[in-house]
Amino acid sequence: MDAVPGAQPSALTDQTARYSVTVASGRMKIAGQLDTPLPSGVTIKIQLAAPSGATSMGSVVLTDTPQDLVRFIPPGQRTGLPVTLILTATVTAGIVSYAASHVVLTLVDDP
Amino acid sequence: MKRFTKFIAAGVLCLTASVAVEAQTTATQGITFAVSAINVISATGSSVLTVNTATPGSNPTQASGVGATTYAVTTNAGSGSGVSQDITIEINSNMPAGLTLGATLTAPTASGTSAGAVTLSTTPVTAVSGITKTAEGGLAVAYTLDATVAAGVVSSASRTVTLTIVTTP
Repeated sequence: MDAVPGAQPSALTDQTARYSVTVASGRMKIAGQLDTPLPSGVTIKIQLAAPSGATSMGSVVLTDTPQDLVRFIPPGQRTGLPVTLILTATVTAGIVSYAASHVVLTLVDDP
Repeated sequence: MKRFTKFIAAGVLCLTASVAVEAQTTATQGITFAVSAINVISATGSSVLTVNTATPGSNPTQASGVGATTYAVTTNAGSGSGVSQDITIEINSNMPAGLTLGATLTAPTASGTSAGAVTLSTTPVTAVSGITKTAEGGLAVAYTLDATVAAGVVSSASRTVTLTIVTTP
């Protein structure tokens, strides 16, 4: 994506990733975080599609602290659920060379 | 006078993703991202300039453009890297003898310095210099027209103005 003159750079969306989750019993939630901080001015949002019976938290800005992404996941096995990633950068970020980061998804009890 | 919008654009936001499962309750997803150079400019509006009066004993009075003419610019060129962007301006055909077309571009608030009033010709001239990490629109472009008596009566004519964002040094 490019930028419209006068506006910040356009956001870029990736929807090629998928996730799978299996809950044996009880009710669970998925939290997500980055393992390394992003450069200043760069933001990554993530949205996980909710399995049947669960609730997606929508598009969530990822940080190095866990954020709830999907809640109230009932028992069951689900595969190939869509993951949407959105990258945005302000002009203050400048030019950023290729860098790698990881999104850590954690399945935990949802009381 | 006619205007058209000229875009100089380079660079994209790049994002790829893949999934790897590490453990039963934790999964990691690799992300590779980059932000390339982005330098884009646009111009909107048109201006009409008519020289039609004079103070007796003097050359005709300068005319100011009628009509809103603005430009917008986005660049992520770094302020700390020594690289900045200039905006040059030119017209597609020189003015008739005795006529001088001038332009003044307002510099963005965030960065850059206006060169003030510049004379337009087919040779690009810098109108704004030193723009870094800026995204602003609605920036004014003010046109003026001067004519000497030697120009005589000049029928209505038009020119196309081109604004170009260039990387310096």
